[in-house]
Amino acid sequence: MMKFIAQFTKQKLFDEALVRRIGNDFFLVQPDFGLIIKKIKLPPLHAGLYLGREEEKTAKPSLDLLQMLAKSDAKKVWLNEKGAWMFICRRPALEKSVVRTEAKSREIVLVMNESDECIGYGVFEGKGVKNYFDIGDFLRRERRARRT
Amino acid sequence: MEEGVNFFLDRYAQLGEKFPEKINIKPALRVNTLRISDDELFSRLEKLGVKLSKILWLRHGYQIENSKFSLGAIEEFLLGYYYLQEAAAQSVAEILDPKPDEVVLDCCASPGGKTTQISQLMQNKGAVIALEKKSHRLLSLRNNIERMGCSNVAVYHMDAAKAVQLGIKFDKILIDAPCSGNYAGDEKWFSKRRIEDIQRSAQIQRSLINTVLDALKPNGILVYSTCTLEPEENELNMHWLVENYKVKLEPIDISIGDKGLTDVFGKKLHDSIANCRRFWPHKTGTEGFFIAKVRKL
Repeated sequence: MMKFIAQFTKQKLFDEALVRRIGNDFFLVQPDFGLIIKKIKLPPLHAGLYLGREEEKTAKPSLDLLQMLAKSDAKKVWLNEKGAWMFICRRPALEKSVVRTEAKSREIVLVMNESDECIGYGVFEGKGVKNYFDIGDFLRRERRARRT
Repeated sequence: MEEGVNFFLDRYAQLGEKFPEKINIKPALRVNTLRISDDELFSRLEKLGVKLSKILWLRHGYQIENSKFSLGAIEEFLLGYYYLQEAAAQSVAEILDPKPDEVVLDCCASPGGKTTQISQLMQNKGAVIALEKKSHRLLSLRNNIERMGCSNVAVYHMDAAKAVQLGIKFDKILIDAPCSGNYAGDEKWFSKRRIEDIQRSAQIQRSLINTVLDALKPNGILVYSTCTLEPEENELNMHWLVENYKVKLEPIDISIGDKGLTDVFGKKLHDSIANCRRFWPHKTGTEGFFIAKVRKL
């Protein structure tokens, strides 16, 4: 997870000593909360602020990690309303949707909407943005959960 | 035959209630103040043409008066600014009234509406221990905890009947019990339910209360809630609880709903059952609900 973050910024987003791993998932566990959980004799599936999941070749950041990254010096691309919606539907962002960019071609970027909220990340391809991850993933996970 | 529309309507008539043919329950949402203020969200949704009205008896609850699209798939939803949660369901966590320095157990947590509301009311401090017995329901619970930005929740895949195995005692416990449901939320309810289902549900609920009470600190609060109108799962269970355990039913400070029934099908119940709250859909405009606030002595 720290390698994933390092792709965007060298800035310290949080105290790394507070990061806990459960399987492939990462959490930020505040000390007071951690003390309580330590007293419980069973292992949790989830504990603290969810940061994201490491997968084989990539990572799926949580909503909170995306917003933390958005406050850093990570490179960003801003999309208009239609572009943002299409991006959340797992599409790439087309050139005509990009209203502003800080990135150069082939740079990894955070994708922002016009309200300055991070809706995902991808690679800036000089004109548009290739979609690597977007917050619409929540709904896709929910649909998969309903099918099982 | 102890099933069917007429059987259940007759039961409700014996309890003093006569239902209209149809009941319209307005959808509702809860503003997630861990991420946004009520005013900010109200303003954003208004710009999208969504009309909300404040539910006066809830802290952050709003009725969805009008919307041209589903509120379950827009950016504001995906950014965790609100939870689509029915009004009566929102009252449960408010009655539990969890404080920031407490350790709270949520026994039947999935899909996480009340879990995330408890976390919000605690301002992400203290700890919420969320239990879910069914593995296929865990993903939704975890997804919602993430979406809502809860940082004080730990999830365990376990049966709440084994809560003592966690090895700690809780300041507050919520049992939002599995129950037989109600017709306001399920138009096919009357054709699905028989009295044996209700009696079986009541036994499971008693068994759960029995074991979970051991995990509550002395003077701690247990809130027991169901979304059923059937007295066997509600007032009769609370009567059994008061008669058999050192507990007290506390009054509930809420301006909606009827008092709990103290006379059920000719059986006189403990007077304190009147401190519970019963939500009849045709009176409250909400789902059917029952809430009891129990203090362990």
